[in-house]
Amino acid sequence: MSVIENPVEGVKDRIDPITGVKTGEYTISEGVWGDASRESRILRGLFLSSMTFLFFMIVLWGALERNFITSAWHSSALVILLYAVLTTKRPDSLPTQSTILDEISHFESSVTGIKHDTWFDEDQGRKVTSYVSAACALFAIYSFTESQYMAIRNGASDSNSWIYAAVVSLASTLLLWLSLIVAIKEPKFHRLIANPSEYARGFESSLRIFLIALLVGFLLSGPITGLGLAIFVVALSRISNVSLTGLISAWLILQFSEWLAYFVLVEADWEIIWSNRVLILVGQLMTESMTQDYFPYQNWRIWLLIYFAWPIVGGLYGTMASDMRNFILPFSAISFILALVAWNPEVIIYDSSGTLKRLGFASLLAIGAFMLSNWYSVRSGEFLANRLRSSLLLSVVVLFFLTFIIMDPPESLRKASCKEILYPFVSRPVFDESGLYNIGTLHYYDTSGSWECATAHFAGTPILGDYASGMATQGIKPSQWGGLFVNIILASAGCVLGFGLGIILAFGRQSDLGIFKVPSVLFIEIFRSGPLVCWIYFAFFLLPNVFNPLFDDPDTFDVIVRMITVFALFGGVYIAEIIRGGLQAVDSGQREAAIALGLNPIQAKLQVELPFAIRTTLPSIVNAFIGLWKDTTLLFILGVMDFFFIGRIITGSDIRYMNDILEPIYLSAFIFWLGAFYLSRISLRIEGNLGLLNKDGGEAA
Amino acid sequence: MLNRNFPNEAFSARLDDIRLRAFGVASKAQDNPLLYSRILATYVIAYYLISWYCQKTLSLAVEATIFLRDDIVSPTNPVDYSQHDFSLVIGSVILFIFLLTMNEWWNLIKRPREWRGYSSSLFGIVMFATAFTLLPNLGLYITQQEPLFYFGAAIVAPYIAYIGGIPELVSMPVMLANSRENRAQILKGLATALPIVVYAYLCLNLPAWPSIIDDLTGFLTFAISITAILWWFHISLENSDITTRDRRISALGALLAFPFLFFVITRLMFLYHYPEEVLKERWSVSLDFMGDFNPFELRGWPEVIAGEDTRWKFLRTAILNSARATLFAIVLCTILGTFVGVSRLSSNKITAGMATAYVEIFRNTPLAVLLFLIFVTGGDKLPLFIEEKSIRGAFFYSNQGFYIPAVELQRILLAVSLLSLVWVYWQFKEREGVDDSEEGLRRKFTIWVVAFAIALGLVLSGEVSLPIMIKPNPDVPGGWDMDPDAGFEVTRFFVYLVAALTIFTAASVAEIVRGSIQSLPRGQVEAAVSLGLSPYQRLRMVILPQALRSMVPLLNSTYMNVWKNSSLAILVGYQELFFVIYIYMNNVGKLIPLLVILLLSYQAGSLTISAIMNAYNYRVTKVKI
Repeated sequence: MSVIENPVEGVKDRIDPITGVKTGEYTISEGVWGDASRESRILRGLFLSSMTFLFFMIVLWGALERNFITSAWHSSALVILLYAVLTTKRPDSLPTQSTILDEISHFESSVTGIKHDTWFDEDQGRKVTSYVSAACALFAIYSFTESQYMAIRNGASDSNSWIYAAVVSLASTLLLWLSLIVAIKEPKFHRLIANPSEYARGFESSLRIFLIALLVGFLLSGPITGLGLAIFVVALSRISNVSLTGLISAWLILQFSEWLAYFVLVEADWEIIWSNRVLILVGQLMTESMTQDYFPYQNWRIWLLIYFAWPIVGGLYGTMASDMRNFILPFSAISFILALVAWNPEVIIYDSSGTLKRLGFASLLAIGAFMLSNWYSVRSGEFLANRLRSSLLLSVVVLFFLTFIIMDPPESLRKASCKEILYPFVSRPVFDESGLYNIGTLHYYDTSGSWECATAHFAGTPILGDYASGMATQGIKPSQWGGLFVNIILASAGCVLGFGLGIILAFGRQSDLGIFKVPSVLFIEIFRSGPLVCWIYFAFFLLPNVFNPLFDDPDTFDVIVRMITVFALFGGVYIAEIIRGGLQAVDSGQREAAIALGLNPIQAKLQVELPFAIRTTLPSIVNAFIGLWKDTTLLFILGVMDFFFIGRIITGSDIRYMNDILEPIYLSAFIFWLGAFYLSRISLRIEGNLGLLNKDGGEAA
Repeated sequence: MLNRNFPNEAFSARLDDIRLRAFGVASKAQDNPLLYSRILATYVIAYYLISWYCQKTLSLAVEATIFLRDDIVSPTNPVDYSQHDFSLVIGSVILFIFLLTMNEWWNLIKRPREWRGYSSSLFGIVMFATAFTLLPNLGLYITQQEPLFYFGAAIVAPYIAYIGGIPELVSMPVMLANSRENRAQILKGLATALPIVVYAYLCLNLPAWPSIIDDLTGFLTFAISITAILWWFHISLENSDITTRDRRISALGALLAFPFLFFVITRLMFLYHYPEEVLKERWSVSLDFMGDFNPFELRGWPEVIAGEDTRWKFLRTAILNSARATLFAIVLCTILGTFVGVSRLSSNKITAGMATAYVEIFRNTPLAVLLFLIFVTGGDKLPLFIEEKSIRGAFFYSNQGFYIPAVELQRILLAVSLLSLVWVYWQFKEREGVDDSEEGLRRKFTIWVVAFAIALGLVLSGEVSLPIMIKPNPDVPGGWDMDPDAGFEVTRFFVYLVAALTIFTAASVAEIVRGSIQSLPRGQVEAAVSLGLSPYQRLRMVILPQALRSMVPLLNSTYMNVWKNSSLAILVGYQELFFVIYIYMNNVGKLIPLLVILLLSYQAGSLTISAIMNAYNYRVTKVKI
């Protein structure tokens, strides 16, 4: 009976000898061992003996050096696991039999460019791969224990050492596996055995490289190193490009991940971050109000903003009308992480239960909003979902302006929310019937018409009363804001106000009327000619001189408000250029059709040209938003206490943290990276939704 | 064009039309009250907004005008301006805005014979000149007369622009002769003349209107707000041709812009003259301080000495420092970025993943944070100075700096000129086509190697000074230093700045390269593969030359960003342009001149980069596809 392997399905067909009919048959995979040819049996024997030897070596070493039981347990567990994994088979219901080995082979061919049939034959190639994988798995165990021991010896905690050891052992195993595969398979030993002279002739072209490397090595460090370098370089040049890049990448991955993991998990002391959690989030004043008694509690303002912002985010995600799990699971994970961060009892300076309750409430609000808008978007069509999205985006803008009102309520609002109803004392003269004679004055309380203390009627009610009385107290001026909050506010100012300003400037620059064109062009060109630091400096010193009289209280125009102005102007200018590019791409037929329909110029611009321009340039606009978010780090010049600045100075705040310079910087780098990364993912998603991605040439290249 | 020959019957028909329209509006309002009440509410809100805006800015502007034109030269009010100066500034601003509004430049250039096309502009200029010369002779004695004069002119000018009847005004005597046919035009001319007459009357007869004297701001606010709302309504009726409509919109814009403009101008004039020391320093525009000696040290080339060289020389060195850092960063980031960008498209999953990780990490990290990180890590991880780490004793590296052998400048220039000669020779030799055969390539390779060897020999045969460490007392590590005359120091600040700029910008360049390569038509790459080219040959000969078409404009803006981002060197202490001007600002306090210098320098650098890239772009896009 002949067995023909069907390469497509991985199924071995069997031809019935009597009827000559091909029948498919699911064969049980024979696992690693394959059919027992002579070479494979020798190799198998070698492999088994080496594995046993290594196993005993590890156990012995463990017994001599340190924890015998741990290392023995490690080694035996992994060997058994490996054996089980390599010989396992998928259930028969699947048409293709693919073991772990197949996946490793696929990985190998994609990573090294070596197909598994470059060995003597395909089966042999797969066996070599499997043996090398097994050996490297053993090495992984070994390096795991080594790294873990070293981590603990250098002061890492238990869990940190496990993570560090896992990362480092994975990376080094990858490098070793790659090097072994390349070293065994690349030199094309079958060609060497088949035709040695031709093989040797192939080295001629490497002569030049040999000589150059020899020269360079000789210059740098001496003759012996030069020779070693030359041989190494020649060996490298014989490897195919793909494998070489794979090796270099693996080596880079090892170096980088080892360095990073060592820093993050072993060397760094993150206590400085935990003890300053609130400070780096909201700044000095809010921390004091949260933790000290002499200061009234002001954090409810930020929580109010979060109660507004979270549901808007949930609602926006809901308008995508995708599966509920796509949002709820990641969102819950993120809320969980936030709750962990808020709860971590290490050096905590506040009562975390209240924070957790509020966080939970905000998350519930978000999920509820998501469900509502998801249900609505799925039920109604795309048009209504888009309309909901537009109104939610508009509410983001409203929320931005609401931030200023909530954080620092103006005088009028504070009067409207006083604690008690103030009845002014009014006197009115009383006349007798003739209307002439004044027999006295009547005193009474005027309860009508006063809008002051309008919300005092809610006093005493559980939630609204608290908020009403809170509004009556003095707010927090923008110059007293700090931490990550300031970065977010400034980035939002740049985005929101800049977007509006950008639209105005773009249309102004494009118009034919001189009175709009000349100022727009001047504005854009002047603002784009200098770096942002220059304009920040300009706003800090020169702007108040010019604009202070406009404000009743010059303190209102403090540092943060000036920075908001500058960011709005700067962002506006860049967005104006982007939108102008988009406007130029508008089909002139659209414009003419709008005029033919009788729309006046403003309507034609806002409702016909602008949507098209924004749709075309939305990725660039989101790019500009990312740039604005990253540029909020530049406030260090003025000493504004933003996230980055606080991160740099908390090192000196406590003698315990004198040496921890790098940790806050890494954290700020990570947080900024996270925000920008999230925005770029949103941008990609929008691009995908709008169908603007074009990837033809990439795959072939 | 102007409706000159409007028959009389149509004139009364026009009146009827207006009447009908008004009633039509009223009847429509009855049918559709919501819409019309919404429009009415819009107008009311707009009125209040405009009057709030005018009130705020005009009150300050009027106050400032009165203060600036006090005519009392006293120690307490040295901000005084003479009537000549003040009216010149304000008048020229009003004239400029008026000319912009009328937008008659094209008419003047293209059709100079049609005087009606630019008569308004001429009229404006004539009026300005007349008013300017007549103003001292008018004998304005009430304080409010001058502000009314200036701000009233700012209202009348848009009025004239709105009505647009200057040709009719000018040709009125002729028209009055044939009064019947030209009734509409005569009315238009009169309508143009009316605001001028009213304005002149009010200015000269102000004592007869005490209510205006009491509250000049309120009067002006009321005038502007009512006019703006009426004009807005009139424009929304849309019963004019495009030119007229454009002019009217411009007039409305000019009217609304004037209060803010006046506020800013009067405020600037006030600050320009104000005697308080800090403000005076900030707002004066002279550049004399730049000729003084600079008190602090600056490291760079050309060498400048503190206390001897002027600030201009220091500025020149600082600009060259900036340019040097930018140049290095541009070259390195392009190489690294191309490498990473192409790796991202590799078939090797690990390489592609690594390149993606690189781009994702470094594109989203702010440059300031990255710079600071490199700064602190470099100080931490590089070997200490006392460890005397070096490569073959010629190249010292430590966390205090990098010291390389110094060679003579002339020798370097000679070597560079030799290499450029060789390059020119090859350009000339290959003008017909490149010789791609084995011998040809080998010959090219040999000639280049020989040229490099000769250049290296030239450089090394001159005076090469290796860095020498001076250790006064080997047991005490404190006084160790490098001999300042031996070797060349590459400061660690320079290296940190260039490293950070390179790493940061390479991520953007990688994205640009990847995007350009991905946008190539698939057929090109497949053809290259089918021709049997190796991957490297594919890249060099087929893919990258075509990808350059879309890459170059994007790289242009990236390089300009590098130039502007070099201003962050203040974080690491590298003394370049922004750092030096920052110190000047803190020491000298003259913010406006320094700001102008800063902006001009950055703009000059951006324009240079743009010019070079545009020339290259022209070369790359010469072939039309």
